[in-house]
Amino acid sequence: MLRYTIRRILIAIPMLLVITIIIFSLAKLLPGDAVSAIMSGEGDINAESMRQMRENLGLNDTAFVQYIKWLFRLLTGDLGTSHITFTKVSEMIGVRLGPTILLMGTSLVVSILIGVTLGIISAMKQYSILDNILTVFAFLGRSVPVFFVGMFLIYYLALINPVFPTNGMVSIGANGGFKDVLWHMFLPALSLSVLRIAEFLRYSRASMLEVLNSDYVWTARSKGIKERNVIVKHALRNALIPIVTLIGLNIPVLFSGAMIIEQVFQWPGLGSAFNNAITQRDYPLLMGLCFISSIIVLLSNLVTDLAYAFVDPRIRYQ
Amino acid sequence: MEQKEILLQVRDYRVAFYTREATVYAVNGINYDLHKGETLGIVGESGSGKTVSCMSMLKLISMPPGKIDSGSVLFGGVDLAKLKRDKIRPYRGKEIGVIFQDPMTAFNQVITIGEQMIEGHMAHFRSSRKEALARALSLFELVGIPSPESRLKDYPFQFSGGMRQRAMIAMALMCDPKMLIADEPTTALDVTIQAQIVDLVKDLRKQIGTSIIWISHDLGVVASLADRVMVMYAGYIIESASSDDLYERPLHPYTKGLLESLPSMNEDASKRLTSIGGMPPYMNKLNIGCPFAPRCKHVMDKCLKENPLLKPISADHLVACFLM
Repeated sequence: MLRYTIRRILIAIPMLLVITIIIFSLAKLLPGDAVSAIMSGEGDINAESMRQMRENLGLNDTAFVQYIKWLFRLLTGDLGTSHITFTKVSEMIGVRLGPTILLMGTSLVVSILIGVTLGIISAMKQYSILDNILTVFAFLGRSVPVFFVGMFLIYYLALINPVFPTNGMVSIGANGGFKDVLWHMFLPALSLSVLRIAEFLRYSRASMLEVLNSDYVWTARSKGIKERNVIVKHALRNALIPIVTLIGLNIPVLFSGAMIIEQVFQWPGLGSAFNNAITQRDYPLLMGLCFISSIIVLLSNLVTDLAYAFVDPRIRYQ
Repeated sequence: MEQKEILLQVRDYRVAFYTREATVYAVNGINYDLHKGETLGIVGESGSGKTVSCMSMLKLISMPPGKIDSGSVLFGGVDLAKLKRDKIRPYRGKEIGVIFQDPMTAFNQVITIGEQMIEGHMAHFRSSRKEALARALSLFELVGIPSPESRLKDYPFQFSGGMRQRAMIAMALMCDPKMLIADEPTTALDVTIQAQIVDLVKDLRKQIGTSIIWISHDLGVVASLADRVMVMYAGYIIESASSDDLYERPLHPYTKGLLESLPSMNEDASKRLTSIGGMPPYMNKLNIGCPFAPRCKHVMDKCLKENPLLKPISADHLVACFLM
């Protein structure tokens, strides 16, 4: 298990390096830079001052030199300075990472709990009325885009019946008590969860149905153990193996979903920072955000692989 | 054979599967007795009802769509066929142990063999883990698994095919059942391992004295093990005799066909093996005539109109054929 863990971590290092190259190249390939973005508002543009600004920002070096400089700063933990606000990128991200992870994490936990539970119930009562209702819900949930669910919820639960707030993370003037944050998070987390619940439901239903027909479930029954133990110990345990992978694969998707829903609900997370960084050509911020999200994705893959090995001894003992 | 005490008495037993598309009549009124200490072989092609007839006694088939339509299965004075589903549990594993066909898929791959062995024992006897593990250890020794103590901690995929089947047999013996159902336990194994498993079962039978129902489509394996053999076709028992008798004097055309299709050591190797023409019937309707009639070389008018009953030819040899 330890060797497996170390191997997985070592594989992540070259992947991270490749990711930095891709992020940097993409940023360089975009037309325009911070200087042209800042200057676009000004009427008369002095070519000399633009050259000077580029010199100051280090934009006159060759792409390769810029990349190496950026990479070495990255290694020391320095994500650079925003070309627009001139504050440290790491600080800008630090402030916004918390709310995004809070929103994402809550939504993920809620969707796993609800989705997997409903999926198992659905499988145990295959073709019942409940199963059919859940199937219809799952198809709806899978088909409707996240932002639409967000708008729909805002319309019915904030405009028509003003139960929940539509924007922000805390009430104005309040300093963010647990209840207040939860109240603000309800709609965005729910919008994010609908699709995930539907997906977890479908997958765990299919997985459970497959497992319920396997030979070893009948073997377990043949030994005369209680049906509840047959289900929980033998069926459920095997049915959850593919779900573990699904959870890991869902983290990046959830991350991008959070970006969109943060815009809809004005959630003070990484999503709005991303948007600003792109429109203002703030490449250090953009690259920093991409880098941090890549790390989150790599980490979630790593955790998934380890969790997979934990639940399936066939992987662990390879 | 001297009359021994009857352990299991099956009478007019019928099982069918009712699905929306079709009804499949899997077992169509079979009668037999299993005596204490006896090994009964059930042979037949795939889909002849041999597995369903045994597994359904412990309700180890999906119900629905499966349903016991009629008949009785008397085991120690209790009719298992009439028991509600939640009342069958005390019989599973404790009174009747089951050995499955493919030890690769029959074990749960993510739980250690030891853990899978002890759970039945703990459920039936309310024994502690320690007691159950001690029992498992002694059974591992009995079935000849080397270094049993450490192997109990291993997962099924760490066992070889033969060892896995030995472990499966040990698991079926955990609660010292009066009877074993062995559902093609050697089919998934290669020939040398097959022979080892057959020898092991013979050995165990001598030591423990359990009654065994050995389901197989391999007449050779059954011949070496069983005291008595029943041949099933399309959910009917078409012939039943002592093992020696059946192989020396097969009476039913189907049994003859099965025996002729076996390769023999004395025969010219270049000669093609004989096969029975036609296909086993799809059992979505009950037969009016003899189920084997469409494939039978000796078919008569009568065979198409009437289903022959299983009748005794000699004291211990029964056959369902109008030719006899």
